[in-house]
Amino acid sequence: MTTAIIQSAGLGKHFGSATILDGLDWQIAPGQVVGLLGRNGAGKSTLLECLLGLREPDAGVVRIYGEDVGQLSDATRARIGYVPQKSDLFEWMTPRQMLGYFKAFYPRWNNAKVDNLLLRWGFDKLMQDKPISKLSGGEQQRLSIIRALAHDPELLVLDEPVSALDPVGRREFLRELIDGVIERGTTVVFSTHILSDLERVALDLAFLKDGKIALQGRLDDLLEGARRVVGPASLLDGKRLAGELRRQRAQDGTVSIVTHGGAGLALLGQEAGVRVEPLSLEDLFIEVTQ
Amino acid sequence: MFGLSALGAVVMPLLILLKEDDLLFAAGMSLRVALTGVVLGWMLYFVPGAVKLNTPAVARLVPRLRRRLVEVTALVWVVAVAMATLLSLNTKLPTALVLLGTGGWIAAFGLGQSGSKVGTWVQLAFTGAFVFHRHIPPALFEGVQHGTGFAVALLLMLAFAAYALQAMFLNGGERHYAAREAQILQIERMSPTGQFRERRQNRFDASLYRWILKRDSATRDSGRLLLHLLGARNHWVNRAVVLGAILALAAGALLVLHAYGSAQTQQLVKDIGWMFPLPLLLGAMFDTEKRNVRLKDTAGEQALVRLAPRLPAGAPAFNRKVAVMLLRTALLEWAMLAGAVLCAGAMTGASAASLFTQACLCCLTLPLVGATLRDHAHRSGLLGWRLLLGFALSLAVSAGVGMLLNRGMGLPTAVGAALAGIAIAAVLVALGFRRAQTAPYAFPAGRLA
Repeated sequence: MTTAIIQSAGLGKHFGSATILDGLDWQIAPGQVVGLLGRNGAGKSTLLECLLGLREPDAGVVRIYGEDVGQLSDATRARIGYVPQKSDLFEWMTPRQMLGYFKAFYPRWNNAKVDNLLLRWGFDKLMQDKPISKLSGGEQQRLSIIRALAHDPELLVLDEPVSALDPVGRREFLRELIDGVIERGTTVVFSTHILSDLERVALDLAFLKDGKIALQGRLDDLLEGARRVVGPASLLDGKRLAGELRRQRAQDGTVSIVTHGGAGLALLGQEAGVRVEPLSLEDLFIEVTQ
Repeated sequence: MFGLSALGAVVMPLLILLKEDDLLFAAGMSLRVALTGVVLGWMLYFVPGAVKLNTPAVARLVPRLRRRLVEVTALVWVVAVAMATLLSLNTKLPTALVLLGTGGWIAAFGLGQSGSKVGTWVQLAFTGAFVFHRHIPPALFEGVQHGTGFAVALLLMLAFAAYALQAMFLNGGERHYAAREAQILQIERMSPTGQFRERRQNRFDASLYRWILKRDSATRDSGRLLLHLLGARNHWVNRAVVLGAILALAAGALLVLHAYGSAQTQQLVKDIGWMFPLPLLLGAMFDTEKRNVRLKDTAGEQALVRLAPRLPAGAPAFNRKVAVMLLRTALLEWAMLAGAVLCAGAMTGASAASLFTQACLCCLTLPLVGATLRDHAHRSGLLGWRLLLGFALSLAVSAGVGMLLNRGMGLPTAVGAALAGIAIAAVLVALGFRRAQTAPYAFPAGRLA
């Protein structure tokens, strides 16, 4: 069995009386590309920060490449790339200075890749010598991604990396992510709200809800197995469906049940007044995270 | 502000009435204090808030808001000027000058508060006129107080006030967007934290920083690299250049004094000139606060640096590295300040004894370097009154120890106090390092509660 790259057990985090992470257990295997989904404020950024040891959890342990996240060795840290949600990038430096600064920390630095990305992502000579504070939000985010990719990380953690990018920028980033990162076997964990991007990139999805991973699986399996069953309350009330995720009663008295991987739905769909519908990723997101 | 003014407006007339039985004068003084409080509150709180509120989008898109801000500002200005003028009646102050002066100065202050350089220059001009009023031809003062001269001056003052009002509350567009950065900077300067924020680099700063960063990146020394979390303008090389410039200016001034000053002045400089550079030592206090604010402002960058290799793993080792970096910076900056003070003292031709006293006084500020060692996982930002209080306490203890040693051992008070200052600094540093060993990992995302 392959050892997980990230292992978290019983991870807990509270902000005041609010529980953000509630005994969360999660494992990321080598080469896995996981899209982390959750509503605003669900704790995605907090989870990623705890996984990287940037935030101290109130409970639980996290191990990366088998090392305690609070004691990561130089070699392990050199294997990690991180794009934070907010691109705080030494805004008094120029892009060239900032990249040179981080290069000094890392034992391995792919200059050719950096130059290539700078060129492809529109950082001409003038822009490379401009203070980062003068760059637009999208430009700063692109620079943040270049910085995270520059040392060819084996584990890439991206916290909403495309939120400030325009469609062209997003497409270029996804192309780089697929061709230059995922193809190399890099393990990727990223959170985003743009579901169409996830469908293009992520092979696995994890839904964060109420401080726990509420649902996780391969994208295809999740979409294939997710169904919404709508029918009269007289028939569905009192009937517990296999793989049931959510049950809701509408004002007209009908009951809507979201299931995942439940068997026997075909038979139920033949009952009078019962509909069994497939779910899109957006539907699934709404149903799981609501 | 208003509470203090109200208190002053009540207490001041009571004190006057206790001393002399002049009800009219006491009432006038009460009104003056109240008016000063209202005007100060308006200038320091209302104007910055109003300017902040009047963004380019708000100015153009929110109906009536900009007009209302202009109206309220103009109304307060008119009332303040009218009240000041009325209160100058039956006093020795020339009423016309009070009218012109308060009108112009308040407008200039408001303009300056909105980030306009014109406002700052006009305020400087007013200050200059106030300080050097004896050198201004009396005919000019006379001229603007009567007849045509007054009418022209009044029109000029009103035109300037109208310009100030318009410049304070721009009506959107390119000009407003261009002025916004200066406005925000000025508003930020009004807050204690804002004063220590990283400012935009000028060309000299930028080229100096380019050299420093290139050199530090080439060495790949994690301690030096960590130092860049403090920003571009807080590097010790930058400080050395600034102090060098101050010393060069002081040397120039002393040369001029040597060439043209009277023998009496030169002797005075020789006797007490060494005291003038002493306020430079307070720079150590501002440096401490600046580092605190910078370490709060660069939380995002800190996360990236923490993940980078070459920095020690584990909270105790990492915290120790941070503490060493901060202590080294603080010590270096203190040494440079002390060196500059001693150098300036030597330039005045001070005696060896005076320079020795100066060196002892420098040691009294040494405990400030200990204040830079904090638990950077929990707390951040300004130390504020805690730093002031701690420094005052340290000074008091040092002075007390100095006096005790003087009585007990005959050691000069300054030497005893300096030794106490060094001892306090050593204790603070030791405690700071012990805290760093046991504190949680510094610079977590967000901060621990």
